[in-house]
Amino acid sequence: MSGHNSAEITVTVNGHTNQCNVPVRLNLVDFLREHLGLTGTHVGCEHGICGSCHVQVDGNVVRGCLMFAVQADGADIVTIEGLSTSGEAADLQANFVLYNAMQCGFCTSGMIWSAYELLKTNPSPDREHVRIALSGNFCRCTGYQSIIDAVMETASERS
Amino acid sequence: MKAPNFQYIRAKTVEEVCVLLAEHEDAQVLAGGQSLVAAMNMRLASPDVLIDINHIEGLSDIFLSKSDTLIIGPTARHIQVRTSPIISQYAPLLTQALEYVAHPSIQNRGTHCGSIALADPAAEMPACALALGARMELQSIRGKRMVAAEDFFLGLYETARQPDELLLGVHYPLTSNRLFGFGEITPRHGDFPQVGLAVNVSQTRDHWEDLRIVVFACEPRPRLLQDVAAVAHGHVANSDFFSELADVVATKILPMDHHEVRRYQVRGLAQQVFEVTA
Repeated sequence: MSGHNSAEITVTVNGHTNQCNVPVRLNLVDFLREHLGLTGTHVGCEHGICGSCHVQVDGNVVRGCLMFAVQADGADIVTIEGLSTSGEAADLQANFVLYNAMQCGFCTSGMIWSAYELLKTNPSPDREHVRIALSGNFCRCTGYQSIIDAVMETASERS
Repeated sequence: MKAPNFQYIRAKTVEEVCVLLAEHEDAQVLAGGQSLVAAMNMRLASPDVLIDINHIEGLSDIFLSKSDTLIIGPTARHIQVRTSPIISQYAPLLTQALEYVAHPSIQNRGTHCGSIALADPAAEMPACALALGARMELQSIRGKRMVAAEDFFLGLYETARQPDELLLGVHYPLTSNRLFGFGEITPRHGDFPQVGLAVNVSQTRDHWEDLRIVVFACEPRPRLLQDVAAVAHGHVANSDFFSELADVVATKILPMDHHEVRRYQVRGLAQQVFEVTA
């Protein structure tokens, strides 16, 4: 049996089904940005350290740079654009604005995903829980305090 | 950077994986990919062929076998192991240690067997497998064999697995009436540790027996410290004893770098881990 350098994939992204031929070496995040034009997901370190490429695949938040697009064949993907449209994280996003939880904004979509997943599994975290949940996301501007403030405020508003 | 080119094969059966591994000299198994894809993106790895095992039915199971063994399949994710009730019942050291493993989005995809097969010296799961006396199930076209954790981790990213073998499962003995401890020192939560310790011990009245202490991260591979059980003999498990034992552990490590710093770190960590183990 032989392998292939490109593959036909069918993926659902933000509710829309896409059929594409992709090089197998293409990262999921590059596929989303360059093939589908969804540039809300960012490309930072490309080796799983910075967290700016977070997307949701079949209900779990994953690194978009540590998965090839071909692996997402048949998957249900939600990007930050889809999450924003759904309104499910609207309060969290509003608190990021209110608390100045960003400066350049590069890390923000990845941060939102980590915080969103945390609040789903632990609706009443303490600051340490938030720190641990966000430990896989780098921010080079804020010093993190304001981001933790925004997540804590969202948790307290939801309770 | 981006990964170099490769041939992608989506395997449908374990037999197919074994045939492909035998056929292709430079093939890698793709399970969670949380280390492999990072290494490929950095051009530290450039396999000719990637064999994706994620679509093979049943490989993500965590189950009890008839022979009183707990088995973790090759595509079981860290998050599955962390939240598994049978893991927390029969191998709670894994549940405890997974609090320290990477970050949530990595745990959502990274696999237990992948971590064992890679044998990163700073990874938590190989240390736990060694502390718990796990056995690795290796499958190839040549047949199946079991390798004890003591004989599996050979060196820096080096294991007893041959290139044509698939790690088909990690087998854990069911533990009961054991005490466990785990700790590590990292610059930041979820990062790779500088030193780490896993402890598996039984306590009879006030005494520790059959003491298994594994040191990892500061050495090229996780290592079971020999002769520490003898040190524990006849001592009541209290703070004085833990202090004495921590001194012994600190003298037994063979650090790759910063010898005095690592000894100092291990000594403090050991005492802390022993206190919470008791």
